[in-house]
Amino acid sequence: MVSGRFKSRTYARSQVRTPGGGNVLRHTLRKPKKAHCASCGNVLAGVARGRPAQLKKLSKTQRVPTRPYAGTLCSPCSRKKLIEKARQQQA
Amino acid sequence: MFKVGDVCVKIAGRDAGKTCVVVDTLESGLVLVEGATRRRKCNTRHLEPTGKSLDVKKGASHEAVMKALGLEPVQRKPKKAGEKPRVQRKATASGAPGTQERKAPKKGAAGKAAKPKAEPAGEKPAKAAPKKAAKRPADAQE
Ligand SMILES: [Zn+2]
Repeated sequence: MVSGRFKSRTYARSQVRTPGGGNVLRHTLRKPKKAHCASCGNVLAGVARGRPAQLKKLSKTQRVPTRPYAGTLCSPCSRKKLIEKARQQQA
Repeated sequence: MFKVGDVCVKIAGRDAGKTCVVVDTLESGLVLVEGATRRRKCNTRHLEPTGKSLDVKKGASHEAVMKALGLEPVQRKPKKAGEKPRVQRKATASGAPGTQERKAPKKGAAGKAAKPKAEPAGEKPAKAAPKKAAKRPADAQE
């Protein structure tokens, strides 16, 4: 019998083929949605996606680009922001 | 566009947002850059000019550039630093206490695993399933 918490769709479902030849429904926690740029809303490239425990297993460089504003802004938007900053310092 | 001594801000890469000075212009169109960033070749697309320029010789050293910028020079470690931790790890792994601890539980685990497997196989093959379920309670609920 399925446990009560698995009846709601908060858990993702997947059919798994068991070694004995059976077909079983497995319930797993869903992945979070992909990271998006804070200014333009595009999907961020190079940002790892997964549950926090899974992300902790990755190295620091595999989680997020090694750029300022990485993980919050996409590269064109971060470039614009850095150019703005540089021009403000001039004036 | 860029001359030796021009002060720029890097826009791309891990040094983005840091100020640097053009130290050399290369034939390939790239530019050699030094300062708060690492000393490296750089595409001019990745630089934002600040309009200032300093008296810096072509191919100037890190300290000379940082003096001109009014910043303190960063002390960069030589790349040989990786040797020490490796030696320490080997010493701990090969040490007598570590190996003894590892060996002992392996033997115990193997003995435990062998005994229960032998018993149900003799009685009935069907009993194997509930024992597996008992090990993983999450699976049993499904
Ligand atoms: Zn963006």
